[in-house]
Amino acid sequence: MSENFEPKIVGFFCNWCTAAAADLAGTSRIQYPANVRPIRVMCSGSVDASYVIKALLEGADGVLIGGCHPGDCHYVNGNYKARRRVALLKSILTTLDLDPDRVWLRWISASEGLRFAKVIRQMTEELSQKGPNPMGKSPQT
Amino acid sequence: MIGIYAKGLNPREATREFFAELFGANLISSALLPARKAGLNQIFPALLSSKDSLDQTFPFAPVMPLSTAVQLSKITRFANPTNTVAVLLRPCESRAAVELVKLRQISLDNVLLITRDCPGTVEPETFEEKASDTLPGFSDFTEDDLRPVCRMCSYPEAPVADINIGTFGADAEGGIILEAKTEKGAEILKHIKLEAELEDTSARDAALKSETDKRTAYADKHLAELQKEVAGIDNLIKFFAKCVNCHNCRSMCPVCYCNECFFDSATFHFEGPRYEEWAARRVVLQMPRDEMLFHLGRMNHIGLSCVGCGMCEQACPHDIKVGQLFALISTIAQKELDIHAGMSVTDPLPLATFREEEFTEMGEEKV
Repeated sequence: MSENFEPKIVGFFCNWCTAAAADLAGTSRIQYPANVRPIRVMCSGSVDASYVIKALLEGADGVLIGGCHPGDCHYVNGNYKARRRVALLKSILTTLDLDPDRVWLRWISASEGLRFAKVIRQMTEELSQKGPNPMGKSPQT
Repeated sequence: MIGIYAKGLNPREATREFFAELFGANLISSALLPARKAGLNQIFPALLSSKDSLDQTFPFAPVMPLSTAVQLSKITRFANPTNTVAVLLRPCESRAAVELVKLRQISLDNVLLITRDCPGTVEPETFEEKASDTLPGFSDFTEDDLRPVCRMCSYPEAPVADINIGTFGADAEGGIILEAKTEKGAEILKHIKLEAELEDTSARDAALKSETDKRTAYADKHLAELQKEVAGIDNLIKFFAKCVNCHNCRSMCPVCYCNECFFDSATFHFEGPRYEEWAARRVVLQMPRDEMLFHLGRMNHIGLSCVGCGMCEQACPHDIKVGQLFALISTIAQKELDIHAGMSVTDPLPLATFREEEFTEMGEEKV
């Protein structure tokens, strides 16, 4: 891994919580690494596994799915469904030895700007340790 | 209720006799059965409207050109038949049918679900080549002829049926073992002349157990080897190297039911400049695009509904062991998520439901 490797994180952020938390972190001037490429989605439950896989195959070093805390989903239970999908995705990635730890699911409410910044810091750090994602390197993928 | 039927006949003749009796007693008005196609050594499901053509049916032919569950969906999806249709399914077809019921693609009203024990199937080409003209059924084939997914299938008997036709634990000319598994099935069997109630099922239980054990042992060994073969992205690329992205595997998959597949959608229609951009970034842009995404995506879409029938693999023009790979990932995922495909029509849909108390560690600090 090179000294100045900067991991790329693709973030799928729920409109009702994590996307607002990202805004809050910004307006509160909380510093966090600029490694994340946020994509606002209407619910963590709307994130299909194929979006995550596409990001990983196209060179993202990690994918962060941000949703509302259990019980707080704007659409009642989308986050629970997201959780089950991520569990399935991680099971499959593990079976195929494709590093499930590059996919993170985090509950970050609209008021948790600090937590948002902390999660981005943690994830950037861990992905820097890991180095580039081998799934995104090959012209074959 | 469980009993011996038509002692002295082989399973094929006994099953024909059973269906003749069902027709004769007006218990069914038609039957979807594996039948000889155009006098050839090809066995496809056919909907029979009377007992007169039962001599063209081969209920135990060890070949599955397609999953009959999909054909049952065609018959019941838009409106159920007016009168009772009996359908004969092997265990993986029954399990696929259960998944399609969960997905609201099959309705079992006016359907009599009859299953039969399955010792496995061979590729249609092998069947055509090796089956003798009289199509005696299983004896023409050895275990090595069986498709690998069949050899690792842990369901010699279907978990869901109204009536099961058992051959494990019966003598070759000892008729078939009929077992009612629902009240509907029991009601039907009341009208059928059983030779004898089977009070002692230990011979059958032992035969089923030894078959399951043999297959589990094969699966454990075989899937462990496969898992090594595909470990890591480079090996996975090698595994799918011959894939032409034709989506045949998806088309023949009984549980891939979407009318419009995401992977065929306009999401994947790109303009020329995008391709130029990608090629510039990667130096070499391998075409066609997105076949790895297709396979990994499909694993996530149907992994929890996969019944391991291996129709995907049989449909692959380049003999990619895609069915075995799906068996690998779905066996592990279904165990880990405690969701088991094809076990009950009242089970909720795996990806549209949740349990509050599952994976509670996920979304928190670690994992």
